[in-house]
Amino acid sequence: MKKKNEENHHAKSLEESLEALFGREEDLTDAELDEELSACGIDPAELQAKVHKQLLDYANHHYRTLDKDVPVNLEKTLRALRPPSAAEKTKAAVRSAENLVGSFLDIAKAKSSEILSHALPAQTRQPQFAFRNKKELSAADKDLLQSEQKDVDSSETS
Amino acid sequence: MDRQGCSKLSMNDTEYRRLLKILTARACRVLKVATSYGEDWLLPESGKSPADFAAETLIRWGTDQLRFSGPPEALPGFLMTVMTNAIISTLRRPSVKTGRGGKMTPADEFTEDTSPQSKPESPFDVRSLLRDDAFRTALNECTADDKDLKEYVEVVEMFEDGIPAARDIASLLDVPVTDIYNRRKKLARRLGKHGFTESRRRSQV
Repeated sequence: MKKKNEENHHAKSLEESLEALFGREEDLTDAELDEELSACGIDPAELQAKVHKQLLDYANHHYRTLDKDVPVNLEKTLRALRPPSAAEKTKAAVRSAENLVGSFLDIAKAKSSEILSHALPAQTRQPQFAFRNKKELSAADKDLLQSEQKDVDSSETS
Repeated sequence: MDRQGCSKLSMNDTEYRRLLKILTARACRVLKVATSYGEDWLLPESGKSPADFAAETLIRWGTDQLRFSGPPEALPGFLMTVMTNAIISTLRRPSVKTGRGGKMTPADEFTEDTSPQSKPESPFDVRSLLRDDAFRTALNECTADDKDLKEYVEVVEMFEDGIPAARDIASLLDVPVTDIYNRRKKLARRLGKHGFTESRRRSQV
């Protein structure tokens, strides 16, 4: 009993020390948890697969082979930690590839419009009129042409 | 409390997966601190990895060996405490006690003042930890190239009475509290990385 109390005291002190030095694990986001586990050399996917196997072995050994029902919480935990099947993995890979291509295209579109908006001279960013296919001249255009023609003729005679 | 309490908790698959990560992160921290601790304490020669401790805790909870009646959000904290106790208990078994020099240390040889007049200071009290040469060396190595982390550890050390809250440290350093949270996370990652490969060699994951 004394030893147990002592252990509890140590565990409590350790918990307090861990919180004081490193903060609470529960406050970490999923990404931060993954980062910390990776820092300890643990791959989160491998971890899940390994623990699932341990739990599955336990359930088989202590319940299923004895034809007993697996307790609800253990069953739920097993279901949640089950590694994805081959079909699920393929589906996830396709989905992530689609997302990757989609985001790549979005980036390419954004980049190209950004480059175009910066690379072209200011005047080309204004709407430009194309005269090539214009069929008829307006009265103003005709006047302009005539006056230009007169200038040319007068300079030739002089 | 009845044993049905834990069965009534409904968590989704994502929450279960997160729970596993939280437990494993805690096991890593506990083992890391224990391995960094000095001559009087022990090395985790139990052959168990952080994942093993997390799995054991999930099995105990999954098979209703643990009584928990609190709100669902308190479950991770409860299971972490249970696991921390289990790790301490495992590490204190005579068969897993090996001093840093390889000397076996029987369980009763822990030199603590257990007289009724004074409350014994736990070797894992933050003050004791920071006074321990080996743990302090590990911390110093983790913070050597980072001024902010070094400063953070020094400030924690300054609080002689009790454990400082993040806001106390923040106000002393005149930085936002979030800055303190970030320093803590960084320190945890660095301690995790610090020499952890050695203990992983003994067990998978």
